[in-house]
Amino acid sequence: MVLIVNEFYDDAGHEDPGHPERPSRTSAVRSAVADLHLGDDLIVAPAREASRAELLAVHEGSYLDELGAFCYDGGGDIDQDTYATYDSWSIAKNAAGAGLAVLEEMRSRNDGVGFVATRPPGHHALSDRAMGFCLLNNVAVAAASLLALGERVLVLDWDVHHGNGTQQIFWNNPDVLYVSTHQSPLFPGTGFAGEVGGWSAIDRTVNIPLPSGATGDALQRALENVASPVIDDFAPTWVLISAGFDAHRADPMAELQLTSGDFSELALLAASFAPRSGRVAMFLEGGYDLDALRASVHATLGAAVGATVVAEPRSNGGPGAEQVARVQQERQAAVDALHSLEATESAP
Amino acid sequence: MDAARIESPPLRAGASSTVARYPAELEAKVELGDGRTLRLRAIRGEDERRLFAFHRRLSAESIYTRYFSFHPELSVDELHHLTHVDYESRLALIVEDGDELIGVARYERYPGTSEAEVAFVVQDDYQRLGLGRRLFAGLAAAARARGITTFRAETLCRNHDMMSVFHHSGFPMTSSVSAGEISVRLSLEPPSDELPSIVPTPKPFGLSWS
Repeated sequence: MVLIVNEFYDDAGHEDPGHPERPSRTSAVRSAVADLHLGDDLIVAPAREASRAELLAVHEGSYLDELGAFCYDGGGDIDQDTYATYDSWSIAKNAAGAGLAVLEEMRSRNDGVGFVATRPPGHHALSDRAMGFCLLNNVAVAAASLLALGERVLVLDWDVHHGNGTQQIFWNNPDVLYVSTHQSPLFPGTGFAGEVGGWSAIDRTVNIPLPSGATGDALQRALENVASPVIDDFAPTWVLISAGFDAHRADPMAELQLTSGDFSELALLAASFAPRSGRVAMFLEGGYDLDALRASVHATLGAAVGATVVAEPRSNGGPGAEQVARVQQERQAAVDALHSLEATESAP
Repeated sequence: MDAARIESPPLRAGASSTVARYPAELEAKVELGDGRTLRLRAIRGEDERRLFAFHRRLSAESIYTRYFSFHPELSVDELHHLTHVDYESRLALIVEDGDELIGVARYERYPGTSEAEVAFVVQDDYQRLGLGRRLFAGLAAAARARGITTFRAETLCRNHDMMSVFHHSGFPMTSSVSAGEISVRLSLEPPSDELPSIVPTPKPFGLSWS
C-alpha cells in the first residue's frame, strides 16, 4: 500500500534550546520514513497552511488572535512547558495544514496510509489554550475537516499522555469517538475511565488509563476488550491516530514499557478499526528519545503499509492487565449514570 | 432540587463549640436576574434559629434529596453541629434574603485527607435561580484555599439540578451510579497555570530550557 506523507516544512524556527520538543524529532521521523525505501509507493502531499476558517472549526478566534500576536511579538514561554517563537505561528499553521493536505491526497486517491510528520504536536491544545508543548490541535483540525464532509471519525490516541485537548474539543460531538490509552497518573491529570463524553455524546469518549510499567500486552488487551466493542458500535468511516511514541520504554517522559514491535501491532489493530483501506491517517504527537522515535515510526509505518521491517520484540508481563476489568466497570457506571439522568429529565 | 446528601457525622458528647476565626472575606452579594440582591456569607453559631426555620420551610422532596430520608425537624444537637464549624475542616456558606436563610452549602473534610463531602440545599421557591452554582463556586474556592483537592457527593439519580451544578462547575468530574444514587467526585486541582509539568522531575533534558 502507498504511504502518503506531508511535504516537509522547515520547522527549525520553532525551537527553545534544550527543550525536548525539538526540530531533531522531525529529522528522526523523516529518516525512519526514508529507511522504508518505498520508492514510488511514497507519495508526498504538498505543504500548506491551515486557513483561519479551518482552524476556527476547533479553536476560538480570540485564541488564534492571541497566539498569532504573541508569536509576532517575539514569543516566549506560554507556560512552564510550552513555548512559542516568532516563527511558531506559521509553523503551527503548517503543522495543522499538513494533516489537511495528507487527507486531501488520501481522498483523491481513495487509498493509502497517511502519516503526518509535523511539530509542534497538537493533542493537548484546547480550543482556547496552548499547553503541553502543543499550540494548535492538528488531529482535531483534520477530524473537523472530515466531519464537514459527513464522516464519522475515530480518533485513537496512543500517546503516553492523555489528549485532553482533543477530548475537550469533541466532548459533546456524537460524530467523533475519542479513544485514548495513556499512563495515569501523569500529565495532564485527565483521562479517567469515568470520563465518557458529554450529554450529547455519551459513550463517545473511551479513556484507558494504565499504570507505570505497563507493557504492550496490557495496552493491546485494553483496546481489544474495552474500546473495540464501542468502536464497532460507533462504526467509524475514518480512523485518525494521535501517534505519540513516548510510551516507548526508552522515552524519558514516562514509564510505559512499549517497544517498536508493540507499535507495529498497534498499527495493525488500528487498521482493523477502519471500514476499509485508505481510511487511516497517523499524526505525530510525542516521542522524545530520538532512537526510540525513529525505530518506532519505522516499525509502525512498515506494518501499516505491509513492508518487511525489523522491530524489537513485543513487550509483555507488566502491570495493568488486571486494570482492564476495572476500567470497563467504571466506564459502564458512568455511562449508565448519564443515561439514567437523561431518562429522568431532558439534558440541560 | 439543589440538594445532595452529607452523612451526618457522629456528634461527640460534650463537644465544645469551636472558637475559630470567622472568614469575613467569604461574604459576597448575590444579584438575581430579577433585581433582588441576596447576601452570601459563612455560617455562624447564632444562625441556629434561622437554620431551624429554614429547614421547616423546605418541602418534603427537598429534605429527602438532602438527607435521603424523611427528616422534618433538625434536633438541637444537629443544629449546633451544623452551625458551629471550624471554617477549615468544616465550613458552610449560607445565602440570606433579608433576615431569612434561604440556602446552605457545606463541606466536611474526611479526616486526614484532602477530600471533603459536599452538600447543598436551597429553599424550594429560590431554586433554579443559579444559587446552587453560586454557592458551589464559593464553597469550592474556600475549600481550595484550605487545601481540599476533591469534593465528593452522593446524590439521587433524579436530582438533575444538583448534577447540573456539578457539570457546570468547570471542574473535572467522575461519577458512578448504584441503586438510584450517583457518587460524584470533582477534582478541585488548580487550573491551567498551576498544572503539573509534562516533563518529569528531575528534567531529563538540558538545563537551558526554563
